[in-house]
Amino acid sequence: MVRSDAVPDDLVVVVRAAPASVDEAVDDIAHDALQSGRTYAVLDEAGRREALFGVSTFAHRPGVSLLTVLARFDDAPSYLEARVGALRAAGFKVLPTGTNLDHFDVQLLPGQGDDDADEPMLAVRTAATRLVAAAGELRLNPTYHEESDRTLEEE
Amino acid sequence: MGNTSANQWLVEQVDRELVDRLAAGHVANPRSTEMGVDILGDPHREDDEGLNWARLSDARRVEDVVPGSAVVMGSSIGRYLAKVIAWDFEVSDDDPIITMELLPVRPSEVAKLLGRNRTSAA
Repeated sequence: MVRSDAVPDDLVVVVRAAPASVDEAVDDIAHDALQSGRTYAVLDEAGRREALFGVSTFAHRPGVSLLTVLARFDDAPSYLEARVGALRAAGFKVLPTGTNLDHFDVQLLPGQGDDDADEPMLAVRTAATRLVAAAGELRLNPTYHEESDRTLEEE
Repeated sequence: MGNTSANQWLVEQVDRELVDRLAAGHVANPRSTEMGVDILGDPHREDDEGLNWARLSDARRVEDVVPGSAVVMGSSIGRYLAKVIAWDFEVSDDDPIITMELLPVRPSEVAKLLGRNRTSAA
């Protein structure tokens, strides 16, 4: 479901709570966008169905602590954040999706029919790389704690 | 199968026959097996109802991710406890969407809690 609310250029979104490296973040985004594309479709401006190679993002609104936005992701050492305008300038659509008013999907690859037989893996990975570049450097996640479920498992 | 939702493809109760049919064709997701989790997922995802989702093909075993089950969801940014809410067959008869509610408690916290409250043998 795409909501009808406007998505202003100056809205800041947490693009992703991320692993420790840019390469891992790109892998992660590409994998999740492909899974989204296999599962969901949206209508484009002309009313045609297109696969939603979506990356779930969350608004970081003025007055809301980053700790609140990232609370769920305290196993992630880093995160990516960007203004919607910067994402649009990089060629991405930002769609207000679902019932959560703070949830948005970045459409990585617009214009792909949802019944196309060939999965555009390379194009999605290239777009994921562009998305990470548009969001700038990985930032340290202030909610990250060292003794995570990952490190406990590895001990 | 039982359906209490307006979405005709959504199934909140499954019978043994359906589980067996899907299990017969299921290949354990190699990454979920490697990570030792019930299902792979992305904790950022939200569907139209605000629930998290994955696909059955992301799971290690079909039997472990039926609606009502508590599961451990693995991701590149940690493990999450979740409750499976429903299976949604809208996009596939064989690889339904698994809708899950992420629980606000960490797997390690549950392990500590259970350890602290283990009943001692009489």
